[in-house]
Formats: sequence, structure tokens, C-alpha cells
Amino acid sequence: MLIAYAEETIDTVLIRHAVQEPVQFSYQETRHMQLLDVPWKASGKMYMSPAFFIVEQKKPYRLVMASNRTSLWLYDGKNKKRRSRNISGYSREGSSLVALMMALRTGEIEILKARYTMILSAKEHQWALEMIPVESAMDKHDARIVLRGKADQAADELKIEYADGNHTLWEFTAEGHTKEEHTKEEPEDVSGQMKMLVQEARGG
Amino acid sequence: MNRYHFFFAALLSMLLISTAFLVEFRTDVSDFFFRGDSPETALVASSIQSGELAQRYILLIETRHDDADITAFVQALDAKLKAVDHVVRIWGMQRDQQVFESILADYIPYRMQLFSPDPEKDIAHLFQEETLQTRAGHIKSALLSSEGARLKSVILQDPLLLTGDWVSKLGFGSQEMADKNFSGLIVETAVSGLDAQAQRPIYASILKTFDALNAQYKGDFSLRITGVPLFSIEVQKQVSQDVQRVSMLSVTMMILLFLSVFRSIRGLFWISLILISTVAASSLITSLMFGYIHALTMAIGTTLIGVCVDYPIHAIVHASGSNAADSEASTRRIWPSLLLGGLTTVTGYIALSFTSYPGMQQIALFAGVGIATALLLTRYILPHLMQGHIREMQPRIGFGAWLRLLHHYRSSMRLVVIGGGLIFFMIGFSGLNWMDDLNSLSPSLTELKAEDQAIRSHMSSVEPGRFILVQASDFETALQINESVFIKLQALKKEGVLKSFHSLYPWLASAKLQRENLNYFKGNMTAENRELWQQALRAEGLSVKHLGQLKMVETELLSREKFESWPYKHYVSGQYVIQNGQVLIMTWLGMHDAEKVEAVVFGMAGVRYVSQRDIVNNLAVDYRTQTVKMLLFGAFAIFVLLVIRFRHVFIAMNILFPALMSVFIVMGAWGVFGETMGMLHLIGLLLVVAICVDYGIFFYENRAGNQALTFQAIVISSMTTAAAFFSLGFAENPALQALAWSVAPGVVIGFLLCPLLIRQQQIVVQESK
Repeated sequence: MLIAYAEETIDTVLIRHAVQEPVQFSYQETRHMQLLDVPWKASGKMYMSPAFFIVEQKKPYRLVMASNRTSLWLYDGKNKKRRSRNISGYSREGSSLVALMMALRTGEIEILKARYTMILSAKEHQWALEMIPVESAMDKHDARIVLRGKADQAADELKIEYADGNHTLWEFTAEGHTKEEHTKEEPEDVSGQMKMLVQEARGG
Repeated sequence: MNRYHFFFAALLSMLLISTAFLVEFRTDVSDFFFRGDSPETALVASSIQSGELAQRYILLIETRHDDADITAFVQALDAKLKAVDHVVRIWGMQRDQQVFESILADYIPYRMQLFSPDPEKDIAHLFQEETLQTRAGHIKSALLSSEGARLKSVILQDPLLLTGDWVSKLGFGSQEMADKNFSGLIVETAVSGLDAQAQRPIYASILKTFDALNAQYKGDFSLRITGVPLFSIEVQKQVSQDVQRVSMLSVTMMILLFLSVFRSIRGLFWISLILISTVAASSLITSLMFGYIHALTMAIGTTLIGVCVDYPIHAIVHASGSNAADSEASTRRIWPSLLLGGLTTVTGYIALSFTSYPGMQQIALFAGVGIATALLLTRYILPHLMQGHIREMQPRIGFGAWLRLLHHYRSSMRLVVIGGGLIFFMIGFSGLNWMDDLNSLSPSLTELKAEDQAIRSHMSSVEPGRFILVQASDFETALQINESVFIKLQALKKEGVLKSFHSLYPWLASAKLQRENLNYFKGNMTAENRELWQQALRAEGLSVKHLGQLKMVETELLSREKFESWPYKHYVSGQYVIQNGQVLIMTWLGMHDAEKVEAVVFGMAGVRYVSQRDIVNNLAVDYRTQTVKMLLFGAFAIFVLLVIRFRHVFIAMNILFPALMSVFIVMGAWGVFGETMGMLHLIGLLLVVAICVDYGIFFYENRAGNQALTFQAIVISSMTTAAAFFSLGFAENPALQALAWSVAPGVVIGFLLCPLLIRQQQIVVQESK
């Protein structure tokens, strides 16, 4: 079910997130969890290309998560351990963020539409896209996702709400810049950095 | 046509019909070679022959394309293979992760009683401040991980993460295969892995299903497959081919020999029918007595054609060569020699049956029935079938020249042959190589074995064929011993001596251990420990409200019955066996230092380190020792029979002499030429003695009163025997080859030596007509 408002449409918002060249963002993650007395915060960089999605967590400890369409690799710098798993299709257990980002960045709009009921709302220079899992496709842990951004721009905020009430807020900013600006480094540099991070996550 | 013709036709028809309907063939080699007398060998035999492990195919799916979605492919393959007939269960590495949550859900209530094999030490350690702080840190890491949403419910039930301890003891690899371009599936079937006939269509369906699905994925994937059923299919193929090849060759050589010597189609026809009756009767009786007949028995048994054909050949040669027109009378005259010859041959085969080599008992019975049938038909039916046609069956080849030559140089050649043979034997014997590897007697499956090893090395860290065996009279005791073994192996793993191991614990634990764990937990659920735990939670920012309460779990003990009602039993299938009032529990071992592992369990009551290959090879050494004894016993029994018959030790020794010299020369030759000698070679030598003694008897008794005629019969019959065993040499099966290259030369040497070594009072040399 698709409900759109104002001049922005769901398709234009979704298509806007598809990338042809590697890009990177800084992010700030805040988790609100029932079993944690205080919210947990982390920050680092996020890299995306049509082939890879990488999260480089720098604080509170180093953690690199890299994924392509079929596999996910994780390097936990705190415990000096590596893990990996197969992922395929749109959504795999425990990797909603990965699945969503991959689908957005590779332009798999139809898959997203099949899995979520999307409600787009727009006010002045802001838009918000609420994505509610379709019941038939819903995993018991699946989340409600809200993407927010400025008019004609990609999302700068992502909120994932889990079925148990836990929620995580991701804020995307350009490192050393204002929140409105995304980093625009040379694609070759970003590609090189991504290769190194994938290597770090995979090991060997 | 007379009444004998009708009787024989009726008898043959009855035998053939009964054989067709009642005889059950088997082709699995292990059944033929192994029999379990000790717990280890029983286990080896049962795990090979009937265990669930033997009913499985192991599939390794590979791809060279990094982007190929191997997960989706394997899931689709899994779903499609379920539709294959007789496939009962499929699982694999990826699948294991999917069912992991349900395993945890079932095991969480038992986390306390299954916590540790050494509860006193481990539970005390658990409630130390430092351990609790580490555990709180693990909870936080788990919650923040990508699995956090799923693990939350587990953590709420089990804040101390005791289930994590349980999981770590299972020896599960955690996503080891995920970043590699391969995946594995195990396909379990409902039929015995050794039932090659039933397994063949299943195997074909698996391949067909894979190919069809792979075509949809543009051929991105390749399949490697192994498993006991595959070996069975290959063994059956080889054995069947051997039986066909050996039978065809043996029969063809016999026909050619017969036609070239006798040039009588009628004679060939009647002898063929006698031999068909012999094989049918042997197969029928053996199958009825044992419940089945092994194809190898058939293959070796067909060489009996070469032995049994001797009796009608003697009858025909004597009937046609003597002046008596009555073939019944001539057969009656040589009957005592035939009977004694048959008895000595059967004695040799019976001696074989006393080796605990299971297949030999079948062969002994097969041979005994065959020889008795051939003898009786030769004595009571053949003369009547030949009546009126005996002249046309006269042999066209004489061997008087050889006999005269030997007679002329007898005195000098005797010494040369005896002296030379003994020296040859002594030189060769010292250089004999003994082979005690039973595997080398199995059909050669080199490629299959290499592929099996390669696939298993991808799929599992377990070293095949080596394990720790716990034996007890009841399950509770066996579990308790198994837990002691677990503690020792855990220590070895920490030392790096043992890379991994898979034990029945912690899937199942003894009632005693479960109670001990619960009691130690109860004793540690104190206010002081609760406070320590809450401090650890606070230090990590975790919710004391949700996680801070330490509670005992009130659950009944986990019983074997309860465990077996769960679907996870297949994870440890084959690891415990309850049979004949004995409980056997096995622990599979990963890469390890065999000596150190063996040393650690040495002396533990009811515990043994088992190497399947060592067991099998020890069995081979036992078999060889027994066979040597039986070879001597068989020769002695034959000697005793001869003494009883001739009432003279010297005559008995004289008759036995060519056979023994033949054995010496053959053994000497093996030693001189560096050939490896095994148990079946020894068995072959016993047969040489049993068969060659017949020639000695015929030659010595010379019941026709015509040495040339007797020798002619001996030559023809020894040629057929040698031809039958020689044809075994064309089999792929090493066991059959061993028999071929011991019996064929032995028989030839034996008959050649008869005129030279057997001292006869009256030697009449005249060419038979």
C-alpha cells in the first residue's frame, strides 16, 4: 500500500538513494534498549557502493561490518574476532539495516515495496518515509523503519523500531561539515578505503 | 532316454527353480570380511553395516562465482531433494543455524543440570566476581550485536548465559563455511547404505535434481558427493562385473579345453548339466543355511567348477579308455579314489571354515555341497547318461611322453626337484613380505576414497575411523564414564593435543551429574552472589531490574527418552549403541595426537581409544595366524584321512608329497620375486594341498590298472582346475586375484610332480587308446 503527499513521491525518494559510485557518510548511532539502563552510543563511517555496504564503527570500539549481496563479514576489534555469514534476498535475520541499505542503494525498489507499506509525508523542506513491514513478510523481530531527509536530498536520519520496543537512531552527517552536507570525496579514494575495510572485515 | 535322464532333468529343473526363487545375493564386502567378536569389532561392523551413518549421502556444493547466491541455491536444493523417494531427512551447515533457535528453546530449561561435567569446580568459578563481570560484558556484546534482537529472549530467561556454555561444548562450528564458496548438505535415506540396488535410484535422483536446479542457476554450482551408499554401489558394480567376467572366462576356457580334448558335444552337454546342478545345489543350500549368499562366494565358488569337473572327467576318461563297455562298471571301479579325493578336498575347505573369517564358512559349505553333488551325480547318474556313447568321448590327446620321460629320469630328477624345491623354499621364505591390511583385499576404490576424504575435510573436523569408546552394562553408568572422558578430552583440547571432539555430553548427561549440577547451583544462589551479579550488571549499564534476579530452574532431569523424542537425535546418531545388554558410547575426535589421547584414557575402566583401521588390521593378523594354523591342521587332517584309507604312514606321506612340494615351490617363488603374501594366499595354498592330494590318490591307486590312462585323466582335470582359478586372476577384486595366483600355479606344479614323487610299486606305461 503506498500513500504519498506533496511534491515528493515514494519513487523519487527511493530512487534518490540508489548509488552508481562509492560514497561515504559519518554516522552517529544511538540505541535505546530495554535491557540497557542508559542509551548506547556509537559513531563511525558508513560506505556504500552498488556492490558493498560497509559500517566502520570507530567508537566506543572498532568494529567493521562489510557486506555484499550474499555475504556479511564482521570484524570485532574489541575481541579481535571475525565472523561471517551468508545473507541473500532482501532481508536476513538480524541485518535489517544491511538489507535496507543494500536495497536502497542498489535500487531494488520493487522488493522494498513488496515488503513494506510505505507512507510518505512532507512538510516544507523536510520529508519522512515510514516503512511498516507487510504482515506476510514480517519477521517476529522485524522493525518499523522511518527515513527522514531534507527536500530533494537523501535521508540524513534513519530510525529502526523493533517489535519489542527497542529502537535505534542513525544520524548521518558529513565529518567536519554541517549536517546538510554529505562528504564528496573522490570516488577512487572511497573505493580504495572500502577495499581495505572489506579486507579487514574478511581477514586473510 | 531312460529313467535316469528323466530323473536328472527333474532334479535339475527343481534345483534351478528353487535357486531362482530362494537364493538371496549380497555384494557388500564388509559383510564378507568382518565379524564382530569384541565390542569394538561389533561396533565397527554394525556401524558399517546397519547404522544411520551408513544411510547418508554427503553433498558438497561449490561455486567459483563470488556473487552466486549459494544460500538460496542450497535451500532450493534442500526443498527439492525432500521430494526424492526414500529421502527422510536433509540438513546442513546453514540449515543447522536455522534450527539452532529451536534447539536452544528446548535446552534452555535444562541449562543448569547440563552446565558442567565438573560442577563443583566450574560452578564455584562461575560465581567469582571476575567471571560475573565477564559474563555481564558478554550480555552487553550480545545485545548490541546484529543478533541482539534474537538473543534478547534467551538473555531474559538465562541472564548468566549458561546456555552459551552448553553450546560451546557441542563442538558446532560457527559459520565456518559462510565466507567460503561452498556449502554442505547431508541427505539421509530410509534404506540401508549397503543395499546398493535400492540406493542406486536414490543416487541417480540426487544427481538429476541437482543438475535440473543448477541449470536454472546457469550452471553456477558444482556438486561433489560421497557416502557409504556410493561405495556400496561401486562395490556391487565391481563384484558383479567380476562374477560375470570370471564365470564367463572360466566356462569358456572349460568348454574350449573340453572340446579340444574330448571333441564331444554330447559329453560337454552332460558335464555342463552336472556342473550347473552342482552350482545350483551349492547356492541353494548355502543361501538357505546363511540366509543369503555373498557374490564373492559365488565368484570363488565358480572355481569349484574346475574342481568338480575332475570327477566326471575321470569317469569319462576311464570309461572310454578302458576295455569295459560298461561305463557304470568303470566308474564303480574308480569310485573309492573319487570319494577319497572328494573327502580330502572337502577337508581342506572345512579347515578354512575354522578360521573366524566369515566368508570362508560360506565358501566351505558351498564347496562341500558342490563336491558332494558332483561326486554323487558322477557316480550314480553320469554312467547312465554316457551309456552307448562312451566311445565318442575318448580323449584325443595323450600324455604318455611326459610320463615316459619322468619315468626314465625319475631317480635323478627326484633328488634334483626335492633338493632344488627345498632350497628354493628356504631362500624365498626368508624374503616373504606379509600383508595384513584387510583393506587391500577390498575392491580398489582409490578415487572414491580420495574424494570421500576431500569432501569430509571440508565438511567436518572429525578424523574418520578414530574415536573413544565407552562400554558399560547400563546407560547411566556409560554416561557417567563418558562425562569423565569429556573432562579429560577438554583438558587435552586446551593443551592443543586435540583440536576438537564431539561427545554425547552435553546433549545428554547422567542423572547423577544433572543432580550434582542442580545442587551446586542451589548452594550458590546466595544473597552475596546476587549482589556480586548486580554490581557486574550495573558496571556494564545493564538493567538490574530485568537481569539481576538469580533463580533456580525447576525442571525434571533430561532423560534419554525425552532426548530421543526431540528431532535433534540425528546430531548424535551413531554415537551410542545399546545392544545385547551392553551400552557403547562413542566420542568422535578431531585432529589429534593419537599416542597422547590414547595415553590419557588408558587405564580408565570401560574406556578404549579405538582406531577402526587398527581393529581391522588386527583382525587380519588374527585371521592370518588362524589361517596358518588351519593350513597345517588341514594338511594334517588330509594326512590322517590318507593314513586311515591306506593304513600306511609312508603311503600317506608319499601321496601328500607332491602337494607339499608344490606349496613350497610357490611360496619360495613369491619370496624370491618379492611378491606380497596375505591371508588369501595362504587359503589358496590350503586349496592347493586339498586339490593336489586328489591327483596323488588317483595316481597312486591307479584303479584302472593303466597308469597312462590315469595320468591322462589327472592332466585333463588339473588343466580344468588351473584354468578355472587362472580365470580368477582377471577379476578386479584383489582377494580373487590372490586366490588365482596361488592355486593355479600350485595345481599345475602339483600334477606335474605326481609321476615324479609318487612311488608306485607297479608302473605300467602304455599309451591310452
